[in-house]
Amino acid sequence: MATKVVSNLKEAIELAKVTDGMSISFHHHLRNGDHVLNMVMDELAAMGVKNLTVNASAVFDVHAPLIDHIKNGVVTKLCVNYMSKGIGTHICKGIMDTPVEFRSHGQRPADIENGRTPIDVAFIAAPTSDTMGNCTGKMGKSRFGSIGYAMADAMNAKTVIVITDNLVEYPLTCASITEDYVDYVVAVDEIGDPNGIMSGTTAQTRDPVRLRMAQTAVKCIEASGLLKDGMSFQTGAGGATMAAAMYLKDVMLEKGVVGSYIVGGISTASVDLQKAGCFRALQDVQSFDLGAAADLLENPNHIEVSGRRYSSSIGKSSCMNNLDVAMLGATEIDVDFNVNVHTDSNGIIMGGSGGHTDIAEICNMAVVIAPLFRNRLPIVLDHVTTVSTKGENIDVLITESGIAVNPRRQDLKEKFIAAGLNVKDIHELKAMAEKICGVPQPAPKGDKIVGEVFGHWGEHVDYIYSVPDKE
Amino acid sequence: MLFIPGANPKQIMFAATMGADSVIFDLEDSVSPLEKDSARILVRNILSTLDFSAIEIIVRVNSLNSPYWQADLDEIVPLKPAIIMTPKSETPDDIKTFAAYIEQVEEKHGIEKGSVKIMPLIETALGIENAFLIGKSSERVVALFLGAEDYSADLQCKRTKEGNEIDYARKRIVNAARACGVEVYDTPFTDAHDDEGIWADAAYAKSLGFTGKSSISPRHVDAINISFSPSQAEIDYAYEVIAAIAEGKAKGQGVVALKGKMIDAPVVLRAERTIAAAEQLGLGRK
Amino acid sequence: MNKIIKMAQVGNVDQNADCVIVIEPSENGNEILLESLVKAQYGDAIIASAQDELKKYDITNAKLTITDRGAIDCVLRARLEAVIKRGMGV
Repeated sequence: MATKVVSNLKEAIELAKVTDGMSISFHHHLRNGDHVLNMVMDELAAMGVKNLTVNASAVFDVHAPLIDHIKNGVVTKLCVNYMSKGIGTHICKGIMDTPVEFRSHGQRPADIENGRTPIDVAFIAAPTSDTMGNCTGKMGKSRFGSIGYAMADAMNAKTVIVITDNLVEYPLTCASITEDYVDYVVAVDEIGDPNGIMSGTTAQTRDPVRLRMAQTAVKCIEASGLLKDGMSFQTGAGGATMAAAMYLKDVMLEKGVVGSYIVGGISTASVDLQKAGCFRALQDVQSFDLGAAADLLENPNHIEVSGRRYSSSIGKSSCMNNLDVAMLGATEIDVDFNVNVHTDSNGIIMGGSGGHTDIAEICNMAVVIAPLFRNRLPIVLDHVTTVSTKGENIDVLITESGIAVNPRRQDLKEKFIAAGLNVKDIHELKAMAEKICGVPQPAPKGDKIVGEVFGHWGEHVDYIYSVPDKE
Repeated sequence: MLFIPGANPKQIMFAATMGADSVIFDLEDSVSPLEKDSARILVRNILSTLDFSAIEIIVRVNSLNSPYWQADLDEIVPLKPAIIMTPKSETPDDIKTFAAYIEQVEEKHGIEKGSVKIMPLIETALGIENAFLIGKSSERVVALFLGAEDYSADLQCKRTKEGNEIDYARKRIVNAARACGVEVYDTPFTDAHDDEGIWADAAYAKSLGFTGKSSISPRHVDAINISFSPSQAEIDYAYEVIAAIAEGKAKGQGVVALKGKMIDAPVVLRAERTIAAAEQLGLGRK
Repeated sequence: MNKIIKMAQVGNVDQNADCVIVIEPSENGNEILLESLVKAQYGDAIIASAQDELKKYDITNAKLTITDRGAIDCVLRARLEAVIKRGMGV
């Protein structure tokens, strides 16, 4: 029987002929529990390969060894959709000559496909694979659910290597990525640490301020007139946005409304809504917890979608085209409604747009939920440190102290006021926060460009600058 | 009414945005003896700096048998909170002691005498028996408040979610408060994480005659507000009653009936109260 | 002139929107050490508030170590007042 299994990672890399200057790719479904990126990079470094471009859908603190590979010239360019602070802190010191390219979850597959960021070798961590490379994230000890962000890599890379810690007999009947795209299969002991895979921003919040904002968000959905049969809904990973799903369930059950679908990062909270009959389907590009991963395997109305199908502009349509309401987070928002999810108030990279930009661009009502101030830092500024998502695409800001509506959405503003919601001008929210916190001094900004942010259509949105060392 | 621990800056800062009509800033049980000094300074600073005009401010000071209550009042009364909640209120003398000290502080700071009200927290068997006398003990008393945790401990029984053990206290305190002409508030629901049980508990408290109910969980504020708000049917009926009375008066009728039922004085009074409550909640007719 | 006579501490450790302050007697006049999540944005304002509170109590021998996790000014000042009073043995 034919097999694509090779004896170890080194052999796969040699067969794939990774050479200086190539572009290699990874997905981030193992999140902060991922072992594969480090495993591959260490091997490549040992083989003496230099000048690589690493195109990863996201990098987390667990990927800290990457910093040394950058310093040693193994890696000279990064393309990511998200970067955690542990890595971002180093990048902001200016350790790379080429700025990091930040894309949205939709634009990454588009640029891989259209040749702007072609991939030579894709390394795909798979919790289960058969001997010919039919693989999935839905089962195995390192299961994470949807493998949506890796699909573009599998379909477009010149060479595709699947790395698994659960090699099964051919054929795997529930494959998400199929053998016709795969060149080699490598079995290893462990592709990830289950604790890290499910950790992060997905825990259910008990913070009263967040819960309060979530309740307000649901009132806004009701007031907008969008809460009706066929409604579609997107939630992100933030505490308030996930709590909103919980309150939404109560309202939908009470009113007997049946929505169409929930899309995006799917959590157990989303699964509950679908099981309760509030939504007909779940379109899952990333499963946030084991409950969601288990449901993806069992529930025929819970479907796995690729990043391209999820939110890309390159396809003929995406899940975004029918999206009514989205709940988004923000680290900063300015009086023109521009949102920053890339850098903290000191300018240090600690995130990325993920789906934020795609969602805001297309959906009917994009709602940002954030407290008036966080640890003394007002959420509303004159200018955000980094523009991640352009203000023209953000419709509503919900804080615990009032709701601001983008002047472009006079219709929503009128509906909210008629519903008795606490609508305020965004300048008023800024003034309220500054009265409590004082006016923040701008953080010092370096002059080296360390990152570039691209938008939903691949357009330039903003630059990220280095951060000067503290004295 | 929402309880907020007085040693937690974040919760105090955001207290006005939780949807409660009144917030009880607590210097007593939620604050450890080692932090009594810092908590009263913290509560004082935040209340005097941020905008809490949207809520009624209540501060629970420490009890008379503690060494802290006078220092608490020294710091808090000058802020002119609406109400001081006095814990472990057992006798009229307890209230008189608090009232006398509050008056001293008012005088010292040039605050109009009697502006700071008192809400006795009744949480012992003796306090329940004396509820009427406590309600009558001072002009400052505007409401009685039932504290079921300490009360059930005093009864030497277990506090349960069903609350059979506090049934007598609830009925007695409501009767005493109404006899004194003051408002009356129910104890917090026991389980801060039970989002269903709160509805039944609030509905029961309302059925007994409580003006409102308190909570230690911001998550329960909406359930309480909705439970204690008049329903649309109640509001509509109240307006019909008032309209019928006005019509009867215009026609010079001595006895007015609505849908075959006689409208007597208590019915009118209830209708007026319902409308007042509805208007306060923005549910009234313009 | 008032004196700081003993070491004291105030504030919830590891709680956002709060700060931990340690006070102790100093031989070199007032010294303020600041670590803050928002040092770039509010460092000067925090130092100014600390100096102001020390002045209010007429203290000239305090070493303050402030570990700030984003406390707003009225919280910071409440913590300063409490720790100064404790340090004075009031």
